[in-house]
Amino acid sequence: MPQLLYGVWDDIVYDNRGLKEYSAPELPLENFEQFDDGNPVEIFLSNRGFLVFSPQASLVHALWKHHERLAAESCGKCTPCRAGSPLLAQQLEKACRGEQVNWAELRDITEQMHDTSLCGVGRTGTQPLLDVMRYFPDALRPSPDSREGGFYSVTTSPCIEACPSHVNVPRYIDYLKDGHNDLAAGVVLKHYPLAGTCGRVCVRYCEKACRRAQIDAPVDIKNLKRFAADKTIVPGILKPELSTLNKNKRVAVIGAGPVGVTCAYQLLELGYPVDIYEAHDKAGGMVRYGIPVYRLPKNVLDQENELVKEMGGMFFFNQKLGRDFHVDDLFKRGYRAVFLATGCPKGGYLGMEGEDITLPGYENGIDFLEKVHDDIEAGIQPTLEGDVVIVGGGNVAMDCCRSAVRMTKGKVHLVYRRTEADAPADHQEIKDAMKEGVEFHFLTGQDRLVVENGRLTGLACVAMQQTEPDESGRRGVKPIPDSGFVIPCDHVIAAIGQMAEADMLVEADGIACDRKHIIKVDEYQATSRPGVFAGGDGTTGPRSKGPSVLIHGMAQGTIAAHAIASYLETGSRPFIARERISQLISQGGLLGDSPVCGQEVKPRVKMRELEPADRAHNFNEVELGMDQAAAWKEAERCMRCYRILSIVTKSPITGTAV
Amino acid sequence: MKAYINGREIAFEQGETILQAARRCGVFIPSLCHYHALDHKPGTCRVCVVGCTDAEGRTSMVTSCNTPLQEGMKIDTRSSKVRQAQKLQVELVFADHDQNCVACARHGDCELQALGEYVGLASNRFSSRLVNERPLDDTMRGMVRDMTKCIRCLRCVEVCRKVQGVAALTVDGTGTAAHVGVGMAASQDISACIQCGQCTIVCPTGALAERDQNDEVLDFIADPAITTVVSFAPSVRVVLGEAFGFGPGENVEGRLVAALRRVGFDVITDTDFAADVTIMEEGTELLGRIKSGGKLPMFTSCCPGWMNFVEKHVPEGIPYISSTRSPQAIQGSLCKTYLAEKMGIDPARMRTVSIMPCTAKKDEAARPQLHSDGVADTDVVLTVRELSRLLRRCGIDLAKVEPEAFDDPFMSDSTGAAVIFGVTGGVMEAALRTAYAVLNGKELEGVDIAPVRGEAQLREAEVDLGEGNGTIKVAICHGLEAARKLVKQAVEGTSPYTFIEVMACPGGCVDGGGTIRVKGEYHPLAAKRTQGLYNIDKSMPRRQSHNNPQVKQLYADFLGEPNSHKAHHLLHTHYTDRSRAESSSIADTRKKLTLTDI
Repeated sequence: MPQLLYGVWDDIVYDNRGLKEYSAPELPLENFEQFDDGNPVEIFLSNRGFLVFSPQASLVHALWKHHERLAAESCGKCTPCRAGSPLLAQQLEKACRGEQVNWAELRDITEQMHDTSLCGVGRTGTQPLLDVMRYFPDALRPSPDSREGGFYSVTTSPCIEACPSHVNVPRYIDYLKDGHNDLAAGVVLKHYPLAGTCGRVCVRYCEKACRRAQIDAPVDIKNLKRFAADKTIVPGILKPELSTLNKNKRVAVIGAGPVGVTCAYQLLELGYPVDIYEAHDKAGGMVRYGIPVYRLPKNVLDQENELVKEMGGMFFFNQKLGRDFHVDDLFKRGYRAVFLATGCPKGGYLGMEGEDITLPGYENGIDFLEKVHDDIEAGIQPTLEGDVVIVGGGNVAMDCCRSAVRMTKGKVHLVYRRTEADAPADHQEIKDAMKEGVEFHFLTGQDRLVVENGRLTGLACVAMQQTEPDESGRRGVKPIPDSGFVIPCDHVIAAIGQMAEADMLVEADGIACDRKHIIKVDEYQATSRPGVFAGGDGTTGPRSKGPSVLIHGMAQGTIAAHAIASYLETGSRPFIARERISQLISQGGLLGDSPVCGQEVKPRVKMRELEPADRAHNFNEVELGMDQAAAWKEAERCMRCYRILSIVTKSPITGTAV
Repeated sequence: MKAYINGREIAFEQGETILQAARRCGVFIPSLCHYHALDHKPGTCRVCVVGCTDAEGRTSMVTSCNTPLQEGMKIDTRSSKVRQAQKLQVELVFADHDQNCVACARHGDCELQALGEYVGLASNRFSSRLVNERPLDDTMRGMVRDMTKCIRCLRCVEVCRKVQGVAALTVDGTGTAAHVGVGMAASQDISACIQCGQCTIVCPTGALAERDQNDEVLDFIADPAITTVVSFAPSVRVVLGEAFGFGPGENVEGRLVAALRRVGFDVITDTDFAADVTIMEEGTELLGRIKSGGKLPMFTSCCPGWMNFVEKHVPEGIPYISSTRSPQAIQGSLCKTYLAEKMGIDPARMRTVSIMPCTAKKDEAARPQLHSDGVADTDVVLTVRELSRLLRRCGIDLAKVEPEAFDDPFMSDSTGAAVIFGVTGGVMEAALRTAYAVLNGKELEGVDIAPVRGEAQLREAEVDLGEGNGTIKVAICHGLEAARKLVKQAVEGTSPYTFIEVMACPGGCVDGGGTIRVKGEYHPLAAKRTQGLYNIDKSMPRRQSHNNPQVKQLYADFLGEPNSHKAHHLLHTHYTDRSRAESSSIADTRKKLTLTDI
């Protein structure tokens, strides 16, 4: 752990200068040893204060750079930050140059910004300067920094940090507020092309981090993003241009799901020619086949995948890895790098005693959803005869049961062995399924299929009860003896998990997988084979968060694109400062958690949706999005909890400036 | 619930803000961006900061406009610390504000200037230290958008979106470059802006203002070879007085006639005359459409903000718009033909000046459709605000002028029907009075048509057109969000209406974008101005357009019948699709992003 020289953190003053014996302060400094490889952190400035680790570094120089960043970040709407931030940057520059500075005036402006600014930029960005002026005024002595150190600064917020792709949420909300729907979409498009798709199906880590929840409810970030996309990308108003593919190293992407498409999109943006191989005859992957159209109309997905095509990406359909080609073939065809985004396209069965997976009426959720998709694509209203039981508690189970209620006149049951609270599905989905008439059986375990005369007639179940909490506090479940009962039904759909395909990769490919054929990757999505990268559901690595989380997959696609570029240009791993600082933030809890006070209550705008009665026997989109007036109103709720963090390192920071 | 302001206990209701409570209790807190009338409190200026100690004893500085009072809160509005903070804030507002006050449209009437006095601003340390490179957009006929004076209160954005339903204004740029833009369009002229001027009513400074054309007018007057013909709109006579100490709604017609003579205009006419002609033409057109199965519903066309809106926002509605020109355009056209002929003036040496409560009228006058052989029928349009400035420039105090009468025998007679053009529902009422008479050969009993009057944004009425003529359904709307829906209905064929009046500005012309402003308030005088016009209507000897003797003479001597070939040539026009194609490329969009991170 690096030794703290002096600083202020959460209003506590630390000063170890001239002490005989160093005693480590209780601060999360583990990661400050070095920023990039072998490059120690000398100064850290943040919303919670400042920390100085090296006597050689110039604090006033760091503050100047920090305030230049702050001035660049000021949106210009509120007075103290708009006028104050450039005034402070000017004065600090003078201080660095050894020119005369009116410190009393500088202090007045700093306090004014800190105390009266509208958002986090002015309110919290001034914290380090204020702390220095209050407790270490001598450190402001002019000291031109002659050394070639490194400086890195980031503007972030709890929602940005919570998002695996670090999408600048307050910025696109601001653009919506300002009347620039196209620029709002442009912010999202920096990260991935599937803005309208993500705006419909995202699991919304950002909203869970939203500080507005302390006052009323989180900002409806997901639907604001959807609004931006629906106004621009989806109707084809915002269109890409053919990328200038000025790099002559071709890259193959395997799998045209959201992860592959995002990686291709980023590589095209960087100028690499990309070919995308897809086993199906259409792009979209699990988002196409797994998410029913009442949640995601496929014209949205098609339009967004089209962006990649229009940028110059080539799609090759009905081309399956392991069947039509192997990884070696790709290198022989001249590709210099390969990205595997093959996913977990196989549905699991329940694995009950004596279960026959060929039994008519018994199928897995993934196959079921794909059939539903194919029917709708062919213009056929999909139907089911009789009663249906779905087993599982995840989002696939919800997609299956909510599809089934739209298809059968019979009853639809959902069986899940744990409690409602334990279910991994989005809880809004559970509520919607209930509204639509799905009968839920929580704490109910499946036992066996009931078959009469070779025909499926029911699912034998057993009631479960919760066990006492274990050491981690988690409660398991166990069957209640003699509690068996049968749910009569004509269909049982197993929605309990997804698997990678076993025969896609062969020994000769030289790509390390685990027992379940899941590809092992490192934090930059590199596999064990040089030049081969992988991401998404079919991989396991530091960034893997289990299947079906779209936003994680797309983040991996972006990281992989930068890792591929770094590999192709330098043959080495990238250093992505933006990722590194997020690591510091999350591991040290650096953003802190200050309470929100004095805000007016502004209830979350209620989004329009189809009445449950209007959802029966059709797959029309349920959520109808916001209109312009609602979007403005909802956008007003964002408080812009921006935090500016700056780091000074001993040497210049190397690596990707992403 | 109880709280304390400067140590004094006050009772308040849940949800009340500090500023609301303070104002209620007579405690003054300076503020700038807050605009009470529209419940607009973006919290951007940060001038209304006060000290706030909550029930737990935590003290902080908060903006009073948008901080709700809480039980036991102690508010400090006058300590040295608070006053210093307010003062510094105003000093910082001035820091990147163009301070060439003498050249400003709001000279002497500026909310920012007044604010400096409220906080006792004694110095201005920062004004030379910051860059102010924001745009000055001079491309519009009606208005000037001088962003070097913008203080980012965003009132204009609010009124453009929520009152007008136009949403042409955006916020562009960041830092000291942040300003109100026009949707990234190259200029306001080609943007979605309809030049209604409501933004100029709410702007606290001179950032958004009418284009001042007084010097052009004074040049005409100074030129002995030129005959100047002036006319003024119905509402001008009940609005202008406010600038000279008269009560709102007070009719200053006679004084204005006298003042215009003093300024030096050669011929003084009344746009009321043209309003009556409008009714003759538009009423005939409507009855024609009904009879011949033409496009219905028919929308009125006298409001230029509305016409810009149709062309730019809902061009599919163009076939439903009446082809009859607006009163201003009719007045201009007839001045340079009929009046020139009657008075023996060479139209090439005639200049027409039109005084309007409206900024969009300036834009209307510039329409190529309203030019004859490349020369505008209406040469200059002045708003009421410019007129008040013109009178001051000529040293004329309206209050000290004795009223005089019109003396032009051709184009100055008025009726009650013409006068009420200035209020929402007025054109409809005037048209119905005449349509009824034309169809039935007798006047409508009880001239006032109450169902079309009122303040509701969208009103509808069923009108009995007399025996054998059936009833028609009509609608009146002011504010354009409702108008958008009415056009949609028309195009979809689901409109239940036969005739629809639309005015872009709330309340109609009496509260148009070129009227006298009341600092910090939004159309507080609407009811009085409206009543002023209805009072004039009531007092007029003739209250139907077809009874205007000069109008009768016009048709007898010059035009023949309403909608005659000559009338069509001189008094009708057409509209074109001016909507913008919206598509843009992702790469261009990315270039415009002001993002410091990815």
